[in-house]
Amino acid sequence: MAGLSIRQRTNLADMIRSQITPCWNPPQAEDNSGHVTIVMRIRLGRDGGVLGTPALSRIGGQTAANGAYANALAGSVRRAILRCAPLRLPPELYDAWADVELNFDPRDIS
Amino acid sequence: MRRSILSAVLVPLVALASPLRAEGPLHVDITQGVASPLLIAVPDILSGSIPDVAGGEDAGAALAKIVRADLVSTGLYRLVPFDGHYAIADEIAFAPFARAGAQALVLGRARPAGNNLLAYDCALYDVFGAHVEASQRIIVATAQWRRAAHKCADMVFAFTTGDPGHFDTRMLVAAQDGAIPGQRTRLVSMDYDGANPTELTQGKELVATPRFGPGSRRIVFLSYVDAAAPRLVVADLDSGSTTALKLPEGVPSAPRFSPDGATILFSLAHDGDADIYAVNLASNSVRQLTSEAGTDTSPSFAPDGSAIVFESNRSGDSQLYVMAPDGSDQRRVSFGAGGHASPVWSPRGDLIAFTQMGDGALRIGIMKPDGTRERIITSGSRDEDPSWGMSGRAIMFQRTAAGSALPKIWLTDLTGKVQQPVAVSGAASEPAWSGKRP
Repeated sequence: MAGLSIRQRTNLADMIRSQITPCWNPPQAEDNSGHVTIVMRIRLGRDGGVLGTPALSRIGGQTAANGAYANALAGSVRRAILRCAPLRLPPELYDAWADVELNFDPRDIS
Repeated sequence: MRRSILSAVLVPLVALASPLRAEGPLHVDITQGVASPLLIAVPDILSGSIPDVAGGEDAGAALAKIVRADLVSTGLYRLVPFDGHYAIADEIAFAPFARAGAQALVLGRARPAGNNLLAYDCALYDVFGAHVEASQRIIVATAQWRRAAHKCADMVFAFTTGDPGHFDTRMLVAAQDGAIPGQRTRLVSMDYDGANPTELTQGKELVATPRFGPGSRRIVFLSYVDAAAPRLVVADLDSGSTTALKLPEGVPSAPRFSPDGATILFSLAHDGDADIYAVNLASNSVRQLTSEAGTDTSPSFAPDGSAIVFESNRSGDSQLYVMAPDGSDQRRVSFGAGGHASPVWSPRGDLIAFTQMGDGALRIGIMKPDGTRERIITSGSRDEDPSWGMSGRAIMFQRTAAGSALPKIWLTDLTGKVQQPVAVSGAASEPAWSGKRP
């Protein structure tokens, strides 16, 4: 990881984003769903496959009123990660993408 | 005190240490997705014939078929076809479903549970993670076997959308025999998909505008035993008791329960003017909420009871207005093309469904409660009387085809892309969709 330029990290993030976005089918949000965000921490093998189970690190914006929506969103996020794996990423930079934190934020979903 | 000094020392050390070690996980923000139907498989798991279930057909196959129909009718799921079937004891591998593109898998296993009961083990699996996301053992009387499938579909819907499912519900319609004049209407109650119809009235009287109270037990409707003097009747479907409401002089119409079931809103026509009234069912006290000249009708409460939407022609043509529960603060909210009528507030609170009138046609539309984001979602020549499912994701309405005098009941999703007729025999109108069944 040491020595990786900001540009290289950004490119890696773009590669992961472009592969997971088409697999993410979030539940439809309505006005009373609020703004829920889900952070998942995943460990990837050298083949780009997910090691173990994706772990939910944080749920943001969860309230008493939107708990069911937040659960459905978390389910959609877990499916997106597993559905897109294995990720295709440059093997020489494996150390940089072995451990990934994915912040799912449905703000730009129309 | 000692503790705070300690942490004051520790924090800078940690802050210093972190840039020298690993930079932590690679952080990726994902803010876009593809809102598309969830690809789901619901294979047949054969159970053999179970007495009093599915008319002797294979119960597992019959139940899976209902689960598939329920899910597809919402437009939120696309079925991944699966050829073949499983036996109840089979281990089911996920790989074939993953290869076929399924993201989710629903497995339902039906077994007799003694005493005329049916057990249906319903589980939702994440195909890629190969783990159970939700599961439920559903027990129903064999005579009500279809409810097991509806409850299974409700579980899948609730888990994948975050909204309660609307499948294990009932619907009321005014079923029509013969033509005007001399037409008879009967009140018929049925499952939301048209199955298990029950006649509530015998067709000796004309009935109109049935509505459910909260849940599925109490209803209100307009009875024309005396055609010149219709009455509002409240009925309890469990006990069979009926009560005609005592109301001020005039012709009542368009009744609707408040969300807590304590009050019924209605319109009362008197001396050529119609206004909105509220009757408290416990005290029978009646309160007038509107008094403008013109016809005020079709009141419907917001689900939290904080406001009432209604239809009024006070501005010339029919438009939608919103007011406080005491009748104050009346303001027009519909400004789209054409007239707007028969509004119904969504159980989610986020939308109002209505009948749009224009170009000689009636169509179903939805808008936000402030009147913005109006969308017309049906394109029939005469679509009217919308009624929400408890999920707030589907609407039942009455459709009369061009050149046909017989209305039918249709179901639509909120985009209007997924529409289908509900299997009701004969002509039926004015659908009313129940809330949760006990």
